[in-house]
Amino acid sequence: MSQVYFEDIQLGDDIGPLVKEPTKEQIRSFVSLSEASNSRFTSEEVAQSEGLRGIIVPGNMSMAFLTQLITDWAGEKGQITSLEVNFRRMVEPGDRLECKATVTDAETVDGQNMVTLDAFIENQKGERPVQGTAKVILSAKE
Amino acid sequence: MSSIDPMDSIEFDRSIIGVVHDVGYHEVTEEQVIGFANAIGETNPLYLDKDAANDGPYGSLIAPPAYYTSIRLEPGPDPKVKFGTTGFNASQHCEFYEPMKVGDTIKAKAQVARVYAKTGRTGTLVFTVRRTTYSNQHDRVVTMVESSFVLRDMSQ
Repeated sequence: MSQVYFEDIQLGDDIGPLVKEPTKEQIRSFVSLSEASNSRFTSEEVAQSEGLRGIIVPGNMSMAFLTQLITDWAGEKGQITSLEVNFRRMVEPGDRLECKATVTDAETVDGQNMVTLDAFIENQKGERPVQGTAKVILSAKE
Repeated sequence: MSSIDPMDSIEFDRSIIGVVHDVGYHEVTEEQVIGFANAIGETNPLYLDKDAANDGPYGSLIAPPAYYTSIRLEPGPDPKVKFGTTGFNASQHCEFYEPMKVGDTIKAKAQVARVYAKTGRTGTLVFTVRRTTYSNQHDRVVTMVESSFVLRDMSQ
C-alpha cells in the first residue's frame, strides 16, 4: 500500500476516483452480512410495492464504498475518525459510481494532523446521490 | 415554513426518547471481517491478509470502518411514529475512535436521540435520529453512529 503523509497534502487535492458498479448479486451478498434486513434491497417486488423502480443499493453499502476510498488513501498509518453523509438520491444496481474526495482543510490540533475532506459519490448522470464530509488523521514524515 | 409546529400533530411515543437500551453483543471474527471486506470489494491487507496485518500497526486483522453495519442487533427502542407511507435513510454520522479488531467482543447500546419534523416545498418530513454506540471488551467506545431515518407521505 502507498502511504500519504501530512506534509504531502495541499488544500484542493483530489482523491480518487474509486469506481464501483454494484450488481444485484453484490447487493445480496452485502445484505446477507448486513444489519439491513429490509427486503427492498433483495426483492424487486417489495421494492416496487414501495414505489421504487426496483432493488436499490443500501445506503450503508454506499457509505462503505466511501470509507474504502478514504482508508485506501490514508494508508496504514492514517486513520479515518469521522464520516458524515447525506443520502440524497437512490443508488441503483448497474449505476456507475465514482467515489471521490477533495481536501478542504488541513491543520495540526493538539499534536494531531487533522485533514478534512469533502467526500461524495457521483453517478453516471453527474448527480451526487451520497455527499458528506470526513476527517482523517495523517502521520507526519519522521 | 408554516407557523404551526408540525410536531404537535404527529403521534409517537415520547417516553422512550433518550432511554438507552442494550441491543446486543458481537464477536468480531476473521470470517466475518474478510467476508464483509470482500462484499465491499476491499483490497486493504489490514482487513484481508492475516500475516500482513499481524506485522502492521494494529498487530492483527482489523475490521473496515463500516463493519459495524454487519453487526446484527436487536431492534431497540421504537418511537412508533405514526406518519407517512414510506421511509428512507436520510443521513449517517459516524465517529470512529479506534478500529474493531478480530477477537474483540463488541457491546452495542442504542437510543432514540430525537424525533423532529420539517415542512418544506415537498411537504412534511418526519426524522427519527437513532444513536448507537459500540464498545469493546475494554469498555472503550470504538464507534458511534447517529442515523437519521426520514418518513414521508408519498400519497400527498
